[in-house]
Amino acid sequence: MTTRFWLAAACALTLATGTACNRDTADDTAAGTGTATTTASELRVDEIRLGNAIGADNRVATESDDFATNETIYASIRTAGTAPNATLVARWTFEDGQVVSEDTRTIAPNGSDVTEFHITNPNGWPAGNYKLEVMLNGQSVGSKDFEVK
Amino acid sequence: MGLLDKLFGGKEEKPRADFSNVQSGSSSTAPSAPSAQPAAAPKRTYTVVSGDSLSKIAKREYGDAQKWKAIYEANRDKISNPDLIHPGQVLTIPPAS
Repeated sequence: MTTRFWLAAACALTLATGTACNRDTADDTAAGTGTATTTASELRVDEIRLGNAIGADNRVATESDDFATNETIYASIRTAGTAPNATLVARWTFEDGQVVSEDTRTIAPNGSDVTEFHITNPNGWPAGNYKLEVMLNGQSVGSKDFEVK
Repeated sequence: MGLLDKLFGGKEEKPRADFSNVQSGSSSTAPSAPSAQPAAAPKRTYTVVSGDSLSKIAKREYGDAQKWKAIYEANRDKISNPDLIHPGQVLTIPPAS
């Protein structure tokens, strides 16, 4: 009886540890990649670009990771796949953790689409390091670091 | 900042960056998803008491006795004659238009 109890306890502990490890791994993969990431649905983000201009196709043509204090900063996010309702969030943060802006766009993508987010500061951007984090349906799908000089 | 920090060159605290005037926007080549349907207004009911009429209930519920027709229309399955309602009947009160 006692042996059975300890055997069951050991199994339970092993299972619990395995679950936690899997979750940590998933989080690490999602954070800070900026590369293709698939969510639970068929829709995926396969490109995140930063720049100071976008083309007619909404895409940042020339990527940049440093900006002048008076520039508008654009992020283009290319998605592939179809979804009746998908939420893209762009969260811009400053080096001290302050949220500069957080914007949400709800789309019904069908195939390859590009969604752009942009921020501008009439007072001029404080110099420093910034980060853009992109979330698709509440899940982080990539991030980009950039600097204002 | 303490006196010792000043005397011995303690770290200056950087003023907090101000992002209060930041403007943002977005656009997409993907169509916008249909917005969620607004939540339906909770259904209200009223239990008829002796002496009630539809116009009295309308006056009480909407402040306008002329709106008795709205209550009548919402309860056509329960009321065959608008001049005849019975104590104990539970009527649906539609939202005021």
